[in-house]
Amino acid sequence: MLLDITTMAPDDYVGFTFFIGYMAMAAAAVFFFIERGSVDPKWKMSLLVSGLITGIAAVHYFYMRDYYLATGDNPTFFRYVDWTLTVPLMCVEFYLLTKVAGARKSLLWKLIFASTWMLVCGYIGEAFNPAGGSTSHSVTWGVLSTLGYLYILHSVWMGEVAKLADESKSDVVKKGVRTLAWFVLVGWAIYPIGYMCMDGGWLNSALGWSSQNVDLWYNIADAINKIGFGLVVYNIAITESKK
Amino acid sequence: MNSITFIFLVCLYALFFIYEAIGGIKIENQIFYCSMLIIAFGIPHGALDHILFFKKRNTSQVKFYSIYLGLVLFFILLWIYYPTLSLTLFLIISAFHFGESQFEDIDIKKYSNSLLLYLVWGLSLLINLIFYNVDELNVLTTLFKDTEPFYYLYNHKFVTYGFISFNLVAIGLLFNLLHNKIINWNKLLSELFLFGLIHLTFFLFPFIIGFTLYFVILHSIRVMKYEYDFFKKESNNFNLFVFVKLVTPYTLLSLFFSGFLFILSSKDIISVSIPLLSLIIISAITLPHAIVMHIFYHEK
Repeated sequence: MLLDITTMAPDDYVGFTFFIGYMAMAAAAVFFFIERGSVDPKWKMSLLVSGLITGIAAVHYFYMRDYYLATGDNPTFFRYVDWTLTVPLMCVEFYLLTKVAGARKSLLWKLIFASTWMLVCGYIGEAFNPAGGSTSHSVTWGVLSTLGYLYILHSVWMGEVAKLADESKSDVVKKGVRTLAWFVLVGWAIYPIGYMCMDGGWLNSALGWSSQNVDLWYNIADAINKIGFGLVVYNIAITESKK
Repeated sequence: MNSITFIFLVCLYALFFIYEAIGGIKIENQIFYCSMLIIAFGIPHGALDHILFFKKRNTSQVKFYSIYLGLVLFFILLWIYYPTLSLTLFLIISAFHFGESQFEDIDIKKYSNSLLLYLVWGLSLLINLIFYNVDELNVLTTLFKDTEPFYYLYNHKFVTYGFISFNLVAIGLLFNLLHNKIINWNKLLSELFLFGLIHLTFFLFPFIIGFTLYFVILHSIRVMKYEYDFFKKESNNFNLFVFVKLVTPYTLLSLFFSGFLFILSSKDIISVSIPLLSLIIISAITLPHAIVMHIFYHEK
């Protein structure tokens, strides 16, 4: 039994962040599910979604952690399964928050489509990259994926979501949506860095940034984005419920 | 994030992928395409100086044009006799002008350090551009004999100290704006984000591309948008076509004179290299433009 235990080097930062990520996501999920009982009924759905985002991520981090320890490889497959479920859910949060200002279902579907497009293209670009790295492959799918990201970015900063938030009567919602927009602008921008670090990527070939760093970037970004995103939604829900 | 920062971000992503696809852009192509962009956006952004000035001051046309063209002539003469001093002066004026246009959207009149903020923000911008591209600049300036004296600018110690101090002071002043309740947290974060984005641009891309990205999008287009919004506020009938019609005469005039001087230089009729000539022309028109824009921004 003891032979199955894998030793970890103290400077294995990727492994370290996998463990931290797993526990943090699990703790955040428990927190959001329990706190769901402390908010007004109209905010319960938002907290449920926050709990689902971190819960789904915790389960995937559990698998990714083991996969990484056993093989030392990037768990790209699990990573994208996780993102394909959680990122559209993050977009659902934007819809739920702006619903009070009149957001329509079409906005929800547009955001879900853009986020799924972004992830599917990113997955093809990363998982089906030929051995040694093909630049044309990573660029083509990288550009297509970025289009989805830019659409979401535009929507939350200057487009439909931003306008709906401005029209909302609640300052808390306005501020909250703006904070979430910051997550999309800064937090989500970490993912392209990871993408460009893979073999054949620009940061990998031009600046020598190792593809080993990809998971480190992704783990940090996930922790900030998923838990941070949920906490902002929680703050809106609890503040509005106290009114 | 405003629409200008969004455009900047889209261009950055596009360049990331261009670099990923082709590994880099040849220096000749960089110079050609960047010059085209700088001319296409840089000259028009200053082509409305006369209209903007008369919106704020009641001065006779003769007086305005005499002073405006007199300043252009003064700077050209200064270049002939004191090139190093002229370059230093040009950088300081540009820094101030870049800083001033960066903060045009906030009510900064009540802020006592506004002039210092403009200058330091602009100086940090220029020194960042130099700091990240020192080696490239060394090569570029030694390509021509008459640009060699500008080596003093790339003295490594000066650049490193300048980089640290100007950046720290610029960031400190931004926090000071927050402390004085002139901006809120959201605006501060936007400014810091843009500041970081500019750092990243200058770090990742060559000197010419980095500067062009900043100058075209974050300066020229931004200023033109400001000018456009100003005229639009004055008249509902104002549109893009009218704006283009307004900027065209002086843009063409500037292009004609610049082209004429470039022909003289390429035929060795005047013994000034093309890069130095470009610098002289740009700095000569920057001085009066910066003064007009200062009046325009300040006398809101």
